[in-house]
Amino acid sequence: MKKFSSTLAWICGILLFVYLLVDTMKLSDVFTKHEVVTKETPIVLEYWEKWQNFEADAMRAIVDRFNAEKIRNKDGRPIQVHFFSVTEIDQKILLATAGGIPPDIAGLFDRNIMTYSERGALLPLDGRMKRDGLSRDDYLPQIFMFCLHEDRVWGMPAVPEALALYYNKKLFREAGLDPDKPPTSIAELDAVAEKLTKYDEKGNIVQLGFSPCEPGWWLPQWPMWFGGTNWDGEHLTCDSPQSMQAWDWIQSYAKKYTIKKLNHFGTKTVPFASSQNYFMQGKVAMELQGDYFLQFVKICAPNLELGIAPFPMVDPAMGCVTQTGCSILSIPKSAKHPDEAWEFIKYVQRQDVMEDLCRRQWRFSPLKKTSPDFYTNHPHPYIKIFRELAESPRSQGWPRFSIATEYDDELLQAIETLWQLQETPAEAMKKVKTRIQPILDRRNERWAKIKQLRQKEWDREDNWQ
Amino acid sequence: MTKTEKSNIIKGLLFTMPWIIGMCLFTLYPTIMSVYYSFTDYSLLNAPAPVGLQNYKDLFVDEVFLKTLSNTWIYAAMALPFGMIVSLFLAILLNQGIIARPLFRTIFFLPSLVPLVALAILWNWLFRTNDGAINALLEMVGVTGPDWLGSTLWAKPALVITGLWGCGQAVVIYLAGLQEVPRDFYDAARVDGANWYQQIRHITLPLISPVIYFNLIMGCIGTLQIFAVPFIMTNGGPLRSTLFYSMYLFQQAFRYLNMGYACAMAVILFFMIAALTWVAHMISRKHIYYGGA
Amino acid sequence: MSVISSRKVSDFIAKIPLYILLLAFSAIFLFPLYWMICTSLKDIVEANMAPPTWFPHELHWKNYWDVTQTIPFWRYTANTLFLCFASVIGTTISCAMAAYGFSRFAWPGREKFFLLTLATMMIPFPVMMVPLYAEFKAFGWIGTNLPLWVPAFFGSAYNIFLLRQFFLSIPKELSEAAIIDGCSEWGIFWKIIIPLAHPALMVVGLFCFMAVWNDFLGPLIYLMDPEQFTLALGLQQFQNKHGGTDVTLLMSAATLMILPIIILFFFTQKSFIEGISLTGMKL
Repeated sequence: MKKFSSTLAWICGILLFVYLLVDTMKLSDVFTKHEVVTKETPIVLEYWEKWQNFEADAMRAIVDRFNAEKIRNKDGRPIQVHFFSVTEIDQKILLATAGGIPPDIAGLFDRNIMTYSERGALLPLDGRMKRDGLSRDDYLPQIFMFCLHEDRVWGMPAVPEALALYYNKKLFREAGLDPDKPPTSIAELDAVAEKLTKYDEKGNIVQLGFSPCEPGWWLPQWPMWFGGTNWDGEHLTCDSPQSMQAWDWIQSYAKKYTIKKLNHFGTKTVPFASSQNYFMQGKVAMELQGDYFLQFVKICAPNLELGIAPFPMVDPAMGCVTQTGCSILSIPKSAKHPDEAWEFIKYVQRQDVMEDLCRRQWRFSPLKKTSPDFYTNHPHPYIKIFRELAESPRSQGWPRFSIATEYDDELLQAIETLWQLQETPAEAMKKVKTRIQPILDRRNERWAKIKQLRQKEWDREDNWQ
Repeated sequence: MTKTEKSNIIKGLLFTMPWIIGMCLFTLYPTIMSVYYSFTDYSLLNAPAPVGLQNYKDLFVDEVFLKTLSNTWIYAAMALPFGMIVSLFLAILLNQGIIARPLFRTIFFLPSLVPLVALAILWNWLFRTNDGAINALLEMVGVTGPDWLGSTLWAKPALVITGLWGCGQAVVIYLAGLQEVPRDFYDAARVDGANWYQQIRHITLPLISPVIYFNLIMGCIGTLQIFAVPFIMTNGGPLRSTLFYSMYLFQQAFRYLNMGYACAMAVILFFMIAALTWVAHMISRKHIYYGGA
Repeated sequence: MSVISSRKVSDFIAKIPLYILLLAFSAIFLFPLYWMICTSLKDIVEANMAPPTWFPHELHWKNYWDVTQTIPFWRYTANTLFLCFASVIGTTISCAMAAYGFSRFAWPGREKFFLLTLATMMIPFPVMMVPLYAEFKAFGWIGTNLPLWVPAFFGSAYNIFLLRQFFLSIPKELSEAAIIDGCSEWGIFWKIIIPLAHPALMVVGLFCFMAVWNDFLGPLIYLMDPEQFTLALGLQQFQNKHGGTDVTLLMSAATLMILPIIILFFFTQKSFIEGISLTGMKL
């Protein structure tokens, strides 16, 4: 009996193993997929994107639209795109590219373009653009610059991004403020924030007016609202007078409200995309957020009374700026089907498709031309504010150079030190410079050595005449 | 060479063939290449370009590298002694001729079965500042808990506590060691009027010193490679106070694509572990009692 | 009779502080597990309440169902199980063979190879991480699960060492008798040593299973396709989802990930404890 049951256990184990083997290694495909490649066999493209949930659904709808149109490649075979929503996409695309198995289409962040192109991981697209009649001039220059490096095009815009001030009108009213008059200067913002902050009897914060670290996704970019920048095209300028003003300002919040109280208030511990989000709950009155944020608010907190305005500058006379960004569709160099990938990217650039995508994601269009009903039919009532902000000549994005990731990581560390009051902004920024400058010098030196070689390589890859 | 010797060589090589191939392919070759890459500038996307000692020179002025090194050693200096004391203490408790010993042993052992990723996620949740269970428990006894994973002071101790929770394996090992200590020793000591402290100090500890030694060495080697738990719980923060050696190595390799630099770090790690093993070996020869075994 | 029992009773009373201590420690060790299960049964509003509630107002068993729907939980489980089985089979066979070659009969060079084997135990994974990545890239294995189980078929130093110790303790006479009976070396290995080494093989297999079930760094760098993710990687990615994750679902997923290991432990408790005691003692 014992022998019988142990034999049975063995058989079950082996069967399970064989099942798993066939299942996980997709061996069944090997046995069944012996079909002959015909003109109708689709070319399947892999497309990795960063978005999740409804943002991913928006892109998926565009992919479905593309697949339904059965666009064919030069051999006449239909092209099908497979959409994958990937977590921590930076990391995954980097690993896959380094591992030699990148997707056909990569939905990159604008900050990846410099690093990837210099390292020879992307295909230059100017030749294809020219062949197919696309032009850089069709796009807002403030957005299209994200696709460029060394004056070549490395990807095409998917959707752009711009930031503005979101504020809770109800809380404004409760604090005796005019809900239709958002702050117009940093000083005003600070004063309003103070009025909007409430404490309980123990002295703990129960409602926060504003904090530069809330949600804290664009911390290194704060100098922009002080007329500064961290990178002037050649030098690290995180210690310029304007930038220093911004860092001081960040630190002033840590001093005013104390880290202990802010930590106890604890906004970071709840999921961002949920009704638990402190802004959605009306516990935080003002936030710097992106155009797309409104869609999250409408889903998670439909009853929130919300106002949107350009984020104030230190001096209102300076006009308005915003941090811009852009999702970019690129073709990795070792992609299996670069030509077909280009067909898809080109398709997304069509004005009607682009506008469809931008509307679904509640964003503005990166194209200069917009159809007459784009704004009237747009779900985002404030979208024009974002577009105008993005067009402001002083709006910027992530620093455009190849060690931007290192620089940004280092700036974040520095901001954390000064936020924790462990160093003065001057000390913290000095450290950033002493750490990043040698890396930059080395990178420049190396780039100078291989630049010629790369340019030739790119010319060859981009030859479509 | 005789005929049997010849056939033995063939047999020996045949039996060990898979392993010898595996050792060459998956251990020796990568290790040698690691040394080679450490003298180059390499990004996986382009061919490696030799740069001499540059990577090593850069490493020793890299503040972050030095910080990860000190973080790792500080963590080891906290985690290893505490782990040893707690697990030895529990093992001694279990060794006191109690009823339901297997039950208690299972209870202490259970947490060490929890996969690291689940463990990290769970403790992340327990350590939350406002609504975390640990601070809520502390609140009940009138203590305001710290901002565990958010403060440079408490993040490392928080990781140590997380590690302590998984000390069950060591408890089982120590318990097995304790059970090999003959009862008569204690009886004789008791007759001589030795109290419990003297018994532990003069009988228990010397007799299980090989076990302690082994665990410390393995623990040290393991700690130098700590990755998954801090990677998931703090990702190095706050202010790089929990950025450990392997995490920085991973960052350099797969975030900045500085493969050469990462390999230089790997080589240094290798030498640290080799040195550690050697020192331990030397100490053990002099100070460890191996009984009759 | 009564003398003995009263002695037992007084013995027990003397040990009451000890039991209190043990119970206190047990509570500390069990609390996190209780808390995980407790959170996994709350709804999201209750889970985020401060101060927390110590018992869910209402048991939301549905969380467990939801989590298997929000992440491809069964897919991950199947992937992980496959890696575990393949690695266990590969490791036990290849390590037993190598250990046999290193212990049961003498051949010139044996000691040198074995010393090299011991030396490789010192090389930690991070040291080999980058070149292995390059190597697997050359094989075209990145993005597949091959790097996670094929190497298991080529042995691992630590397990070879453990098994060798065990094989050495098996009397030589057994092999000699078998040779006289005309048994080949492979026959001895397969028919005599393997059955005898059952407990040791069990230990090696169990630890291998645990290690693979646990592994995070390997899947993190080699796997790209979410279809192939293991539980460990899937769970981490679920936690890091852009926009944050519902903690009740996260805890349900963590509970589900721990469960098989605990079940496995209760079925193999004896080998487990023996194995751990064994691994810790020798060297």
